[in-house]
Amino acid sequence: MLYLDYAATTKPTQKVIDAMVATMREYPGNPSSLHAEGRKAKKRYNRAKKRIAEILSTHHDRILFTSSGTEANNFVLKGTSARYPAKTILVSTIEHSSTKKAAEYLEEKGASVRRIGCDTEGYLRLDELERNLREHDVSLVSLIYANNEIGTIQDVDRIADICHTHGAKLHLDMVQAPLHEPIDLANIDCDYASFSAHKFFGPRGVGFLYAKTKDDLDPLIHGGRQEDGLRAGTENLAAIAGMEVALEEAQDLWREREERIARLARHFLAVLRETAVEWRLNGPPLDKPRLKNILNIGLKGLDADDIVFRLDKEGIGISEGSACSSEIIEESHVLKAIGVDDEHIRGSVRISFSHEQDEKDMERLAHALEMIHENS
Amino acid sequence: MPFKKEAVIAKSIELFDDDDPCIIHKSHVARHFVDMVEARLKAEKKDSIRLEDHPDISSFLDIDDPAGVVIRKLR
Repeated sequence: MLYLDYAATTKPTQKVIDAMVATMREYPGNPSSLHAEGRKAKKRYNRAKKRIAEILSTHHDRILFTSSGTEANNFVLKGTSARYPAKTILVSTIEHSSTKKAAEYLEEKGASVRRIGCDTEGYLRLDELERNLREHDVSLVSLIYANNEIGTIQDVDRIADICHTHGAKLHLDMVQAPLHEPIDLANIDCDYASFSAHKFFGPRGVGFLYAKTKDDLDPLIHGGRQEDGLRAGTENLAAIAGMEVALEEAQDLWREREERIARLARHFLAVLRETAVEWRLNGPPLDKPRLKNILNIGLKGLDADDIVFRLDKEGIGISEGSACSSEIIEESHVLKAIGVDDEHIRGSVRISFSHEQDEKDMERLAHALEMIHENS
Repeated sequence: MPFKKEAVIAKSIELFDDDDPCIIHKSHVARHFVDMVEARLKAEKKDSIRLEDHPDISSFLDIDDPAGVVIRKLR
């Protein structure tokens, strides 16, 4: 299959798999045990945490292992809300569902949550952010740094400056970022950042939260003293070791991979332009700050589920931007928020690729879309 | 097209091992059924087929008596 759904998940590299298997074999102890096997496992755990912190230019005390980016996002929103119940939380209108739904949950419980709009390319309206910070007592601003549907990368320096001027903490959902740019937490002025290993060729079921201070965090799971008492449960040491290796590879190789990805993105759009397909790129153009590997394409007159189905039959795997909510299929809230018209939303699909593809793959996709357009 | 609930669940189990499909899985299953009908129309080079001639298709459609029922291609 021509897999073009890397924003959904990536396949662990051989080095990652080897590290995980070796960890399962060589470190069978519980890191909380005080005997030799336990101490050995604890040392491996600490080594991974220190290495992850080192790669990201931060201190290991600021890293909190979680099961996912979703859990990390929930940690920050729910923790902050519990700590400052009378204050307001700000999120954007284009958040990942983990932030969106956590914010909605908190609202149902009586918390004050406000949403900041974006322009037609998905960039946060900074005047709206500033006005909300001025008019409300805000504890936290939680934003998706690199958008998982349309690729928009926010101007984090300006946003951090605005938030901190008004005394609010800033949380960034950086889940899609580590494959595409260096993550230097010493120079990113955020208070929290969420990461997920399976988005950067690591294993599923493990992620971490960067927290400048853990004072405002509240345990989601109670029990043992793991993760400073904030996340009980025996650590998934093999997954943590796999994440360490994956992050190291991602941050070592991002530049050469990114050059290739940008070239492939340009090539795909150029080939698609030559076809008879009527389409629009949802989100920013390629020359703006954005992930180059996530291309959200709105195809006029087609249905996204039909496109995904037909491409699947052709051996091409992409994604549509919908989510199930009880008995309805919701259209993408992200595309709605940036003002994409209904006809294009219905035909919008997310193509997310990596350095593993080549020009021929991108041509194959463009021609398959042309064929679907012709047969519709 | 009206699909039999049990046929949708059976196909959902085949595709996802999911015996309680959400709306997205149900829609995907429906898309597979529609694709089967489209493929049959294409294979027979016709714009319509008589349901009673295609028991495999009538097996997932919620129609009591397939006699006289015609599935017609609209576009």
